[in-house]
Amino acid sequence: MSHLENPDSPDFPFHWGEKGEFLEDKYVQFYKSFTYYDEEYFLYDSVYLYVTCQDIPFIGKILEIWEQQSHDRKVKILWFFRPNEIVNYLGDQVPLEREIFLASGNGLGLCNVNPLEAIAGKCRVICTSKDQRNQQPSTQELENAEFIFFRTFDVVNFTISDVMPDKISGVNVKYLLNQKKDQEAFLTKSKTSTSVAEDRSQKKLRLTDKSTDPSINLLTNKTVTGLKELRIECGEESDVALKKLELGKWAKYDELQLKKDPNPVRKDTVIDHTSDASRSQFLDRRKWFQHSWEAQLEAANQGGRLVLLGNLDPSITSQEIEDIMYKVFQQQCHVKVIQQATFQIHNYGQAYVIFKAKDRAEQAVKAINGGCLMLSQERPLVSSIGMLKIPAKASTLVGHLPTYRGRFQVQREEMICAVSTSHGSQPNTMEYDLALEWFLLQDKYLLTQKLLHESQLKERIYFRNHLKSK
Amino acid sequence: MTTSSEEARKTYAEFEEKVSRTVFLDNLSTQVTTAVIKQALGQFGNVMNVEFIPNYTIPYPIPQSALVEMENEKQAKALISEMTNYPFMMSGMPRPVRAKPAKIEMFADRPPPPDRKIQVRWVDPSDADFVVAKKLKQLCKKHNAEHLALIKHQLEEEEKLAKHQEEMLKTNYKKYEMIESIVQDGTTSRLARHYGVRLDYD
Repeated sequence: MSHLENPDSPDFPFHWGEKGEFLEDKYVQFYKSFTYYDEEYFLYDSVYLYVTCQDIPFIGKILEIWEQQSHDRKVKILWFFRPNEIVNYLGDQVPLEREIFLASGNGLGLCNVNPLEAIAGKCRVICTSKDQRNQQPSTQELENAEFIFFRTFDVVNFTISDVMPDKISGVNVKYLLNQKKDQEAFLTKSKTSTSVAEDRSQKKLRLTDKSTDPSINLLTNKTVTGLKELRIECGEESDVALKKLELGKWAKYDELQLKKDPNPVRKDTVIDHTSDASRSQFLDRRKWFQHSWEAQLEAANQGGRLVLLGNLDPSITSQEIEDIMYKVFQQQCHVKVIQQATFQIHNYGQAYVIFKAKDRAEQAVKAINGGCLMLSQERPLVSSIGMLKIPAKASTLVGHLPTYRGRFQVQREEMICAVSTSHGSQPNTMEYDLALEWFLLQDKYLLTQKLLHESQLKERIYFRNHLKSK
Repeated sequence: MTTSSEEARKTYAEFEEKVSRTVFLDNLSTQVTTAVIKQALGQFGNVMNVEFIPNYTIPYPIPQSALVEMENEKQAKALISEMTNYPFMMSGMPRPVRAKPAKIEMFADRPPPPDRKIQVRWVDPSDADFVVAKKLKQLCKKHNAEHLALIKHQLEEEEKLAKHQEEMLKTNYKKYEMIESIVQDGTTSRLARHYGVRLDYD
């Protein structure tokens, strides 16, 4: 367990901010803000909460923050519901893209107390309600937001309403609506994501110039009203235009997968770090975002929407492939190139492409394999559906030897520590000689690899020459 | 659109700069975490970022690899030269960690080179090139298979070496243990007296 993940260690990336009340009798200190992993969180901020058993995080608003006598840090979270969690109560209504619902009423599922460490990051949520108390967001803020809300979901009556009540969970609702400082934060923090997204949407405009598809015209109307009028038909592939408005990593995560669930998700049973004896559940936030890509891959593979492309230029980028897929198949897709690490062939690039629908993926593969889609530098594309079976990672590395305990050696703990601590090997140890054997083996491999590459290159040149001389 | 291509150039240049400061580490055990790397490589300079490269395409249990971003190119070069010349162990021994300078193709989120336009065309079946293109596709698959076979062979060789070293280490320990035991229980001193040999422990 790394020292960074131990909440009692001095390096734990957490600092208290402004203090609030202090309850004498229960020895509880309330706070108004705190800093965690270099992000400052305030009361009523919207945050992501990550649950180990699920890949999609929950979104909630911080209502209260406190530290108990035992030095446990807690937060009381008011929940937002995603449309797929309340699908049975939406009826015929189709939720807006990026819409979430604020919990209201007084009952189970409204809010929960969780350990503060369950917070995985800030979430940019903007309220678009026409309520008088709500500060109307600007176009820029709307574009930068990851989610919007203007309706509530009552957890007792299971009804949806766009009328904001006076209080939710004892808190005056005006605090839960847009706050001035939030909006400033939205404008500054998302500069990079908007510029990247704008670049890409401009690129796509070039590619689709010849198309007469009327929906493309929506691209030019990237206004507030334009956003509100676009609705997703859940389950069908979304229009190109809609996808342009997705900004930020999380919005891109997945289209709404409606699950037929008899009850709305019971949040109170889910996050339960306190019952965990060891505190090793705390997750590195960066790992969590990467995890989301793996989850996407898995989900796409399950749904038959994953395609592996081969025979690419090794320096090709994800964006270029997405553009190509769009140009050729008019399909919006999510691409990740395979990184050229030790075992990738230097001459062949690969990439995983996630399509929106299974039949589109199959169509694409059929077209690529049956016909011949040639990229520059004479590279006919190769494709296949699905993911290769990757074995689970070994717990120890081949070549790492167990330490031996001599009968008369008492200080075993220190010995183990010495072996597993990173260190440069000294030439007078046996370890050094063994390490040299490994160097030798690796050099042999590199040499063999080089020979193989040379012979493969010759074969390719031979055939490419045939191509040029017609 | 000059501004966007300028921006693309700038982004690419910045990325190249990042790549020049980054080190590619492999032969890492799965027990190596970000914290371990930061601690171990702290002596070479400031570790800015650690990114592990996931395996999505090789169907064998391969060691982990990571991209470690240092503060500047000098630190990265120092790290690489140290690890190339002297074996460096992390979370286990004696298999050493390998360090190489990072290349832009190792990054999944690399920006496209500015001013590069990739041509795409469908080759008609009636075109003479079609046959050759098909052959190139087959070649790609064949090369992939050959490559995988080489990897498999290499992994087998590595297992053999590991086993061999383990055996050797075990027998060595047994030997030392044996010597220890006879020294401890006095056999050596007795034998020395018997043969009239002087034992000198220095």
